[in-house]
Amino acid sequence: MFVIIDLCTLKTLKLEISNRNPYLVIVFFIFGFAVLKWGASSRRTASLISASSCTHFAFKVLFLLNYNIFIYLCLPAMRRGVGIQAIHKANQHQKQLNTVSEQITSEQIKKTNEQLQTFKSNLEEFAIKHKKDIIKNPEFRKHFQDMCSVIGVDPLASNKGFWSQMLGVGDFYYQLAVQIIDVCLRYRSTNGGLIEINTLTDHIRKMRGKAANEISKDDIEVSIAKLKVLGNGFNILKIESKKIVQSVPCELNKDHTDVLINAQHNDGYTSPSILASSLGWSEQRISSVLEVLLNEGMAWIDNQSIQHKGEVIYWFPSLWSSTFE
Amino acid sequence: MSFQFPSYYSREPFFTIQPVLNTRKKQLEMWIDLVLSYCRYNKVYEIDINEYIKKDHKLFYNEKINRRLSNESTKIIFEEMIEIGNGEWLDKDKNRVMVWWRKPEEWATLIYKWVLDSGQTNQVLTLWEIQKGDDTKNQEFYDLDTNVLIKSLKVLEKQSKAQVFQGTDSNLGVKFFSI
Repeated sequence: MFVIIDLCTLKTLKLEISNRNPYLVIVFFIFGFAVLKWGASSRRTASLISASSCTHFAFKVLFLLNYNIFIYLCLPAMRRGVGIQAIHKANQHQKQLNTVSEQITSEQIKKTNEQLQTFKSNLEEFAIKHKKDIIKNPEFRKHFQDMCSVIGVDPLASNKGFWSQMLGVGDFYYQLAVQIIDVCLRYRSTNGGLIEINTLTDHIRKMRGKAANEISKDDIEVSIAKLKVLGNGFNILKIESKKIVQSVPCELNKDHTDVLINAQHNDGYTSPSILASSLGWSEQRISSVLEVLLNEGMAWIDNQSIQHKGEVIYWFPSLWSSTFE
Repeated sequence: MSFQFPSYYSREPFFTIQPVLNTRKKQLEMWIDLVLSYCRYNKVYEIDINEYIKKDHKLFYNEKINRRLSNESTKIIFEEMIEIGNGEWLDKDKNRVMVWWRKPEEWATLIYKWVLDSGQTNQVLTLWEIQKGDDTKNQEFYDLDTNVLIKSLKVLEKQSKAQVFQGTDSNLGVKFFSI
């Protein structure tokens, strides 16, 4: 009978050990101790259980206790492993990890691809759906352009690409660029290659006629940015609130733009004495800057100003609200 | 309706001859354009520079912006105009100038076309008939300046399309030929 109990305890213990539940082990230890005590007392009262079998049970419990301690102390060390077998194991483990990580990465790529695909098809759908708006409405087109640039898609990158096939947008900006060049060249002799962006827009609108798609200042800026690829022939100068398109490859430094800003405050003209009093420049500096602007054809002189007592004043046609024609 | 001046007429530096060559070239072009279209509109064939300037004629004086062309500036412009074949000095002092808002060659073509269209080849016409005749009322050369008309007919003479001859009473007559 004790053998059966023994075997049972052993089995449960083993089970518990394999689960490594410390509380249960302690419970078993206390249980074993209690049985030992009980055996000793029963010997005195000539009990049912023989002394020898009682001792046998106590040894069993003690053995199990040792076994327990052994397992708990030594198992972690064993798990860490030593020797060739352990290295093999470690290698295998690493390999398994690698395969798992590869699996995860490929899954991620697959997912990203799927997302991109969805995005592209959505964008295409959007583009097709709003094709008319994109082509006709300049404000809408700007927003679309902004959205595309944020996610790194450039509808202008190629006129053979998806965008031009879908929208004809690529061609749109090339066409506009040619018109910009056309207008800039036409007025170069009177404004020296400087033209205010609003004036330019008006002229291009007139040139395209009423039937053509509406264009905005932003469209012109986008086109000019594209023209920069051809060299530094086209540039946009910021004269305070005004944007001036420069169509000649002339290096204008800060002094030149300062003069333009000064003239901008002065109904489009300035004079050496105005510049001297407002900017505090030397006579030489003023005359050299004005000479450059005059020689480039950006300034026109006027020697009949009564207000300035016959001092020659310099006008900048590019600052006027309409072209000098 | 009076003549509509172009927008550049109200720009102050337009009335000062520009020192930079390219700019000046453009400016003279614009002035010649203005003078020719003004003369065409008002059928002016002859300009007396001194008189125009003395009288503050609005062609050379913009009252609104208080800018005017000086005598020298005006002469520079007319020199250029004559250079490109749109006029002729009438005196040595270069005060009076003939403005050809159509060149004599152009007038010649117009007149000859009218003669052909109205079937008047091989007939003798007086200059007066061309200038004031009932048949030419709708033509652009109606009321054409006599000097210009004679110049134009001389062009046709050179092309052997017409012959000018002295008629009675010192009136000139012209005979057109079909070629």
